[in-house]
Amino acid sequence: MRNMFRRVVLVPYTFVLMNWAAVAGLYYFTRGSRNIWNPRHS
Amino acid sequence: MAEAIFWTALAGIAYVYAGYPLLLLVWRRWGRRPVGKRPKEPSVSLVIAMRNERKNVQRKMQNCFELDYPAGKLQVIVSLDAPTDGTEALVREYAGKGVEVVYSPVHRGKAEALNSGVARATGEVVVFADARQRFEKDAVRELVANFADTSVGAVSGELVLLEEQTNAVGAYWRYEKRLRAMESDIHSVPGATGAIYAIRRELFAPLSPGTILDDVVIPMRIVLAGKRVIFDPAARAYEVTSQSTESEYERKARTLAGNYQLFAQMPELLAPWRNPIFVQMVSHKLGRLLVPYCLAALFLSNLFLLQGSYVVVLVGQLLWYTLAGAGWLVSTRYSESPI
Repeated sequence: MRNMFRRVVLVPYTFVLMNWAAVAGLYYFTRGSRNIWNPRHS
Repeated sequence: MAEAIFWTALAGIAYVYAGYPLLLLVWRRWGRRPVGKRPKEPSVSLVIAMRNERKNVQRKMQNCFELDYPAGKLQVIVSLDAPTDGTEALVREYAGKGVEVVYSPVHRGKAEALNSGVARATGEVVVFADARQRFEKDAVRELVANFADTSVGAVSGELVLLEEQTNAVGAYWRYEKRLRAMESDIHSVPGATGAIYAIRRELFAPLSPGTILDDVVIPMRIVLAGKRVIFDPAARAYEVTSQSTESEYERKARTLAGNYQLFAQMPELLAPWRNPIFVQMVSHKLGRLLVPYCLAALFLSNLFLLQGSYVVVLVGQLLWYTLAGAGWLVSTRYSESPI
């Protein structure tokens, strides 16, 4: 039950966070390039 | 006015997440371009850019030696970008075992490290890898077999996240890989997987200093040069990762910053007469940059539309963002394991 609740709330959280990342990306871009070492996957 | 904004924003979001995948599904059905993949053994240069990778060096070097590819045709180049954690000493231990070391005493960034590595390369094909991921033994063989097709200029392998099945990020990543597979079948993927991809060396041009997404810039230059960039899931690299939502956020923000840089550096990507995968580029890359603003426009315009079914949509949005807030609390509490 607890796992089900976590699943239900983490899907919208992940969606919102990933979209917020696009806004953060614009901020990083306008401030200059980010440290790109430690790439995970792309 | 509010109504026009509402429907435009909704249409934009729906197209990026549902319309575009459906378009690819139909497009692939009618416009599939098979790749003439055949076994071949061209000379290969494996270029690995490293900065501070002390804990990964030995495992990575061992993995290079275990690859199923003729040693006489495989050149391994490690391009060091002023490491400060002892990586250099560890890598130099392998210099006598066939590994070529390119060293920069000054920290110049990954793009310049790759430029230096490729400048040393002599192979017909250059394979790019990162330090942390382990290649499947036949990964190089699988990658280069695609170059039997002369229309192919670059090949992206598949990065398998060993814990991806267990969380929401994993589901998102699998969705991404399905999109890439369909894009590849039609023409090209708008970018490769940085941990495992290969190009024909003759198609490489040095990257601009500070380039964030080498694995998008290099493939897209190849697409603009008239070659295909394909995705081959048979060429695999593995990464064991806890893959928390927050670490994925960091990666995503970096990638999307790189996308802004990409369009600033290569505006021709947005010209349909120059870019043969213009639709894919706009739908996949540009669309993702615009969705958050569409989401904000959808919510704000909905506040001015408080009648009929618009109320239902507003309640749905409020519920969605409330659940997202709860998700943030849960994620903070159980930060090591999202789902």
